[in-house]
Amino acid sequence: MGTPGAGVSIGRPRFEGLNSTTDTLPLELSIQLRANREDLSLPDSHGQIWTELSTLAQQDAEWYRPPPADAAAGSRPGLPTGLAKRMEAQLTEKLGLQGQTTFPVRRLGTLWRNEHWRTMITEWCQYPLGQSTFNISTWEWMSSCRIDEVGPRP
Amino acid sequence: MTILTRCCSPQFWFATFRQVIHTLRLLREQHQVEVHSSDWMRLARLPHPRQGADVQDLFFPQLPHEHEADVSRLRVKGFFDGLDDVGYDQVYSAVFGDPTVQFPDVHALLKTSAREGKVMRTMMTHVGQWLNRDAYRVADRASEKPPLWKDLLPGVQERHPDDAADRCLELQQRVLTFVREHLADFTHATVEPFLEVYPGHAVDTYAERFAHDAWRGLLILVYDFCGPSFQHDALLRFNQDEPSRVCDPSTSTIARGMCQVLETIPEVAHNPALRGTAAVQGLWRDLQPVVLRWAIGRCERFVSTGGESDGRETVSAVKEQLVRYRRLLDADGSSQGTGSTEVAARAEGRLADERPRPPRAEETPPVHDMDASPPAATIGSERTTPRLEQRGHTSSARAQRPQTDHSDTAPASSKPRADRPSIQPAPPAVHRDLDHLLGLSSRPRKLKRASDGRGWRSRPRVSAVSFSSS
Repeated sequence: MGTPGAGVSIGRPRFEGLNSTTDTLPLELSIQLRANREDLSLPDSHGQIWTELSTLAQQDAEWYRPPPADAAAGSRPGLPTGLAKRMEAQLTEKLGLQGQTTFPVRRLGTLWRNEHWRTMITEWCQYPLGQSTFNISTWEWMSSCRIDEVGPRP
Repeated sequence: MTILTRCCSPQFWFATFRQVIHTLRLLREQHQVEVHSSDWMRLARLPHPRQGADVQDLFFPQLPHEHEADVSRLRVKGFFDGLDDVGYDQVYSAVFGDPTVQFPDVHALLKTSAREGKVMRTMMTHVGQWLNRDAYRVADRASEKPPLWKDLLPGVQERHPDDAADRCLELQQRVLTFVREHLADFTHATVEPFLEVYPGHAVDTYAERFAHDAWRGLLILVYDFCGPSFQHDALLRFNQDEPSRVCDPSTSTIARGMCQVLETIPEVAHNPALRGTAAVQGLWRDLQPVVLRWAIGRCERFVSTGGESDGRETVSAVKEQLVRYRRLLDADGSSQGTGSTEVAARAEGRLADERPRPPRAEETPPVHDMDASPPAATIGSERTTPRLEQRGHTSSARAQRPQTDHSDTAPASSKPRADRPSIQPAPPAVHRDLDHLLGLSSRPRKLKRASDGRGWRSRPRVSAVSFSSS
């Protein structure tokens, strides 16, 4: 049985020794250390990755924007132009997805930008059943059908 | 559909997710239990509505044969393995004692194929345009795409002004359920082309599709829900003529009916070159003028002989049919261009290249809508197969096609012709399906208390007190 209401019950640490130290590390670094991206025998599920992203967003709502220094160097920082690509780049970096050529980063970004589906998936992935059944590609095409029942109902 | 038979009610993604989350939260907060995927799959197999005996059979299948209730011995191996006997009994009590706790088969729902989803989306787009004169036009790569049910508002709010939004969602659920139940009908080789032709494409001929069971059934469903509230010009007639009484006499179903039985012939079924969407459609296009000419010839002979021993009324009816067949053949020839010539040419082996090819660039109309996904014309694995008459099209013929707007996804190359006949409906089956559908409710059904001693009130006494291990 999983831990009820687990927050960052995501990914197993690559090294056992990190168990005690990751709690004191900055969240972003902690996530990167916990992430099992390259270990093919124990890769993180899409549900685990979404939970990491949710945790990251709780700490920093502007997580997808580049650091101020980088933004200043770029042209017209802060404008929505290119937001999707910027978000995907930040997803790749912050979630340690570099080298994961087959990971659907673009679809993950599409889902994240859809407020209705982001809310639903975030709640869904709070449960073990939800984490194990969440698949980025499947949910992304579901969202693309525009037949989600988001309306006045609670 | 398999999924529907396993789901507790005709719900869609969000409704099902909400119901699952509700149950998970309840078990977590009230019983400190986390349900994992394999456990949920077993719970989802409980019937709807369930009886106490069903729950008992799931958690303690050997209990009826035992005199002593021993949880650790009687519990099911591999089911809630992470729980001790007390926890196992708690879950049993929770499921047994509260029939309103639902376990929808979310695994089956998530297996909905992308193709199925596209058909559902396409059909919702159709219905949205039926009920909304100004349905939302989605730019190709627009970042904001409102849900399709909002297009239903103008039609729905005429009958349901106070709760139109809720009713729209209800109608959407009914439409999607109906489409999933009749997916094979909507995607049959002889019917599938209708998916790609939206009302704006064929105002005059759009109603032809309602001669087909599935399309007509959907029309009746929408009419029964909204009343005579159709807004698109292509459907205005159904505000006067009740859809359930409509049977389009302007089509011939002979060739289509012949093609429909084609795949039931073993020789065809075993030959991949003869079966499949493209093969059936190709045969239908070739067969249609041949059948019409045959029908005309037979009718002419019948009329010229005075109907032999048949009465005057019979001759008159045959004359009417004769006129209709001639008109259909004329329309077929004019819309197909070289249709009959092409049939003859193929018979003589003069058409060299029989291989399907993708539509040429100039034949592809603007792609509309929806997330940069392929247009509805790509639904199905064989949608790129061209119609035979494409080879007979001249550039001027292409230029005469109606202009498409962004609400219509159909490539002109795959549009049904104006005279395309449809299959005569089989009303009893449709009404049966509709009665069934309209009787469905999204609300959980109430469980009945059993009076045979195995119902909710008489839950068997399985108690943690009797643990053999304790």
